[in-house]
Amino acid sequence: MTTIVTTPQVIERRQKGPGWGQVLLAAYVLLFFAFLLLPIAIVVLVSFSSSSFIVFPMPGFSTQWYYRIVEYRPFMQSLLVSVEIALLSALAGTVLGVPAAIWAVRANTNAAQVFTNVMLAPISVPAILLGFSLLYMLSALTLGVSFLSLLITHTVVAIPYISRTVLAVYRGIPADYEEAAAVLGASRAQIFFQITMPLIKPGIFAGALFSVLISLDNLPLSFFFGGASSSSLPVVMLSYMQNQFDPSIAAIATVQMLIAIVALGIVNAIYGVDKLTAA
Amino acid sequence: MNASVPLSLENVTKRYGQTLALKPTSLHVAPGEMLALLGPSGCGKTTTLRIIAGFSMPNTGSVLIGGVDVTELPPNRRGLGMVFQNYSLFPHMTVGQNVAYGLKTRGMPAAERTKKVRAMLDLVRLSNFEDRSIHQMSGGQQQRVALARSLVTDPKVLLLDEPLGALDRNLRESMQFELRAIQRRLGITSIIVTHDQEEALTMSDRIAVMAEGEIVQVGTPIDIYERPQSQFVSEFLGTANIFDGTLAGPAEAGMWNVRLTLPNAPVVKVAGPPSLRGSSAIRVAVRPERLAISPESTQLRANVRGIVFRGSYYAYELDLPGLEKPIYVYSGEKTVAANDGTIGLGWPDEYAIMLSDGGVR
Ligand SMILES: Nc1ncnc2c1ncn2[C@@H]1O[C@H](COP(=O)(O)OP(=O)(O)OP(=O)(O)O)[C@@H](O)[C@H]1O
Ligand SMILES: [Mg+2]
Repeated sequence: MTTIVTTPQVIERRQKGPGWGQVLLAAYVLLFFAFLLLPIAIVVLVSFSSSSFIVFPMPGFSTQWYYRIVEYRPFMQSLLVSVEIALLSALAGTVLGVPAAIWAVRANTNAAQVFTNVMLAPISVPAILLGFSLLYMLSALTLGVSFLSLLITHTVVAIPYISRTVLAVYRGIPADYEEAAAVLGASRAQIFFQITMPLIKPGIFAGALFSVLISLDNLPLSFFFGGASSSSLPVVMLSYMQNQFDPSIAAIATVQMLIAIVALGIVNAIYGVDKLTAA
Repeated sequence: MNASVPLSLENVTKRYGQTLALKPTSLHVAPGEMLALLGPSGCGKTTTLRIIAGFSMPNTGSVLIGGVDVTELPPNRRGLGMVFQNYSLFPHMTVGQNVAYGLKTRGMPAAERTKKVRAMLDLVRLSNFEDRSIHQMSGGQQQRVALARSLVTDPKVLLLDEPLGALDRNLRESMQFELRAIQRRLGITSIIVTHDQEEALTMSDRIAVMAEGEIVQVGTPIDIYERPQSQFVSEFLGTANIFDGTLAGPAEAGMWNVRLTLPNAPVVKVAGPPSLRGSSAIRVAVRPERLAISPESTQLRANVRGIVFRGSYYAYELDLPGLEKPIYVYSGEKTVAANDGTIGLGWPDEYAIMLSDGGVR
């Protein structure tokens, strides 16, 4: 038997350049980000304006508006109120919302199903309506316009954000882990703190983060509770804008945005945002 | 009750809405025994195991562990060990922490805990894996961690719910032997749930075959295989050739003549209880490896439909006139059919099994 060996001819294939589709896609992505980020970028830019009005393009550069917002007490005071309310309502929402979510997932009853839907109510009715009715209710309870009322109001909204995310995470965790722990002798409390909590932590973090960001930015609810010690930053910003139109509003907005970014950064550092969004 | 019985079920039933998932069931497991709960999907194996573990409250009856009624006790106070089908290792703990968990809940001091965990990891051949994360372990290794975790607390009874179901075939077989060896070494009373008949045969001292919410037969693997009581059991464990017939009268000691419902009504001898009478309908099962074929003429002649080489044996598929289903014969040799394409079929009398009923379903 003979074998004929031939050298295979090498065929050079022409490499295709990027097609029209790819160019269009790149243009679209660029446009998309411009649409998303340009307004924000302009606000940040304007906060460094030397003009006493909000104009764009701006005549010159100055940091005067940052001095102005630090000196203007209502801004600083309401910023503190906003941060306090955001953190405390997230905490209260976690304490109240997590057990509710856990029950709703594992209780295999119709009541749990109804509850899961009703839990969404505070974020599905118009915020104005919710704020208005809470004002009535809390006034009837003699709490009226106060820091506590504001906190309660924000907690009402924090609960659905937190319990819904925890609910989603917890649903994906089979009961086996908890059952395995039970067979190994764990009490209910041990199961909750040593098994369940660590497993739903991503959900708690994500929900609490959402609720903090929502609370920081919430105007319609806070509006009803804006007293001397309980005006949140958005409320003060709105009333400021009704009288003045200088770039200090852009400066305080930039500060608020920075706080949100820092909050995200902290959570990312200790937890990783990719894990949050995966939840 | 008897304290030397590690585990018994007394007339336990479980109902889910309208369906009776578990008909009245009693079961006694002997010390150090490995008992397999074997049955098709949905027959109530998991239901039974969950009642024993305490996750599910039976509607009637009691569960006794070491002679003590534990029916009302929650799972964490039953002192059992359990291996779940998907292992359920805690993903936020290391291998060592997983194994130590059952000792931690019992309040064992850390130093003592570490010692026991090490010893147990040695036993399952995972000595240097203590600090590994669960995600870094292969399926077979996870299986062994789960086993170590359930054994380290010295449970009174070990429950295994399809423990090898998630492993591939080769690993499965080696794990079957390993699991069995560890169970024997520790002498731990165990119940293994499986729907794999081979697994039940290799691993257990006794098999409880379940069907539609009840235990239909309990016995040693040989017992169940060689003397199935119903068509269901004969067909669920291995392959069985089923022949219908009628009682034709007593033969020698303990044997009966049975006339098979086939064209020329051949009479065969089958062992059966002395209480039979009249011309009752009889169903007979013969295992494929017990059937003998030859080119010579015998009472039964079948047409060869196909022959498949299966490595250690040939599987013959035969058509027997008068039977709807094909007959299967496993034989070590290749037998050539006669010129007319037929082959002679027969079996030694002792291998004919009389089934007591038409079988479940
Ligand atoms: N929580 C439940 N609610 C309602 N019916 C159930 C429940 N658990 C089990 N069943 C029913 O009880 C019967 C027995 O189920 P079980 O899980 O014990 O079967 P199994 O033998 O373990 O099956 P498999 O091999 O598929 O795991 C089935 O008909 C099942 O549908
Ligand atoms: Mg099952």
